[in-house]
Amino acid sequence: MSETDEELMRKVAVNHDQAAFVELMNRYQQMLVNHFIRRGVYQEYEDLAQDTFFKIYKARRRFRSQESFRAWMFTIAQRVWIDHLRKSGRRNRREDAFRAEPTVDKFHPKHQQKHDADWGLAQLSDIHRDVVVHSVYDQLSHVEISKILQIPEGTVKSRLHNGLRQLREIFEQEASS
Amino acid sequence: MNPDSHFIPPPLEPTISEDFQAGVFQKIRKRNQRFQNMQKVAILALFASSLFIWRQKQMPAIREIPVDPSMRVASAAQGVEWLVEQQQADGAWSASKWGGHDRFSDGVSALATLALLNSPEPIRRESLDRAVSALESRLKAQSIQLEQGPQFYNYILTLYTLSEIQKQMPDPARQSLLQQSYATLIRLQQASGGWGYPDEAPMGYSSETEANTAVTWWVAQLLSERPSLRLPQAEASLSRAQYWLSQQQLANGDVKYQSGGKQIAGPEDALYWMMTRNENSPQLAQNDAYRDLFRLSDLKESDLYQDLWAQQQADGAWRNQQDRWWQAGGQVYLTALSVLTQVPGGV
Repeated sequence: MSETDEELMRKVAVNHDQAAFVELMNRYQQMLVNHFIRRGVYQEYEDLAQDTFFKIYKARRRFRSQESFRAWMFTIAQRVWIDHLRKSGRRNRREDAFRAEPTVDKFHPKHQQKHDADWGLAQLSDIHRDVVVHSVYDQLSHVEISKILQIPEGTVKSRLHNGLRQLREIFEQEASS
Repeated sequence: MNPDSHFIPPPLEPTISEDFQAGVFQKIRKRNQRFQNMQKVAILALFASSLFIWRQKQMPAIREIPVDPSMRVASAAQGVEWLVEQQQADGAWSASKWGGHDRFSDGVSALATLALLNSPEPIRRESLDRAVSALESRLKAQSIQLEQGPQFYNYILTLYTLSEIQKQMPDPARQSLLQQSYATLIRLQQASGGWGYPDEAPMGYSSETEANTAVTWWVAQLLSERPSLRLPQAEASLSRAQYWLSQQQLANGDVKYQSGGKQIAGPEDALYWMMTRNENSPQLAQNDAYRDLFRLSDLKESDLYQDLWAQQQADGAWRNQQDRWWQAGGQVYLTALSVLTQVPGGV
């Protein structure tokens, strides 16, 4: 029986266990990369995922065994993402992603088919997309999303509801046209 | 997957590069390397500071023989008494009458007034008032003539003394005069940030209009009075002056007299405060009261005062025709400086 994420992380924290750290990366590197793409990082997603693992290693002694590793990892990923926005000054330009400079990156919504998931997500506002990504793709609970985004649990629920409703309308509208 | 999101098509997933995990470990290694380097620097700094403390302990201590304060008071009071006796009816002092040169009477009068202001024993207020009045009228005249080339030291010393007086005896009319004079001084600051002699050099020296450390140091001292004078432009001017001064110090501790010049002032010539910081000589300088003023101000408890008292004349004055600046300032200059050396507020 394979070890849980939390058991692996404890090994990293206590014994600096490199094999355990590699195993955690194997489990979550794809999820983290996908996460950053869903949140609008279309070029530096691997860098941000690497930064997140690096910060996890740096903060390993602060990991508490009773908390979920995945939620803790996305809390750190949230800080990495905010740092990235600050550094690149993209926060204000983010909503204009569709009108951004041409890019050859295939994950950019502009280069996707209109029925693709990322194309649909890019139509949502920041606040709705963040909640939808955390819930649908990162598979986090409402409580965990509430902690990561530092918003009340009720707000998480309403944003998720509205975000999914908007997304459904977008896809239905596109299908009918 | 959230059950309400079944309508969302599966997204594309990028292929992660093969060296993804190697990149994470490289970041960790770099961070560990930085941490180790910081540790090394901290250890080196600790070692260097320990070495410095050890060296300080090994260095011979300065001779610190307590001086009877009453002796200093008596000596300075005699000097002040002599100065008061030589004061002219207009409140000023003549440099030429006592061995100096007339061109420096204003500067000499400023030093004598400063000595009176800091007299260790009460003097007649009337004498000080006349001196201040004379200085104020001379400052007005100097401000007009300044850019035509009278002695810059006269101006600086007059301004310095009147600023000290303003601190102790505030006067709105004088405040206005001082502000105008400070503005003039700032206007004369060179592009480099320093000050030189606007036109003429001190007597016996070749003309040198380029900024030099001695003059710039005095002006920097003056500008540090800026809070009381409320001169908005003084702060920027002072910053530039301080930067200029810092540029004149060499790695070995010597100080260049001029930034572009070949002269190296070293401890002997230009920055007197640095001079006293760099050497703790157990002797008075050979014929340089100016230097001794700073040296003794720094080594307050030294028995160097014994030597200073030995040079005082029976009439209370100091006289030394070999002094470096005797031909400029004469006996009034030497006496005023010697008094200022012995009183707390002298420099």
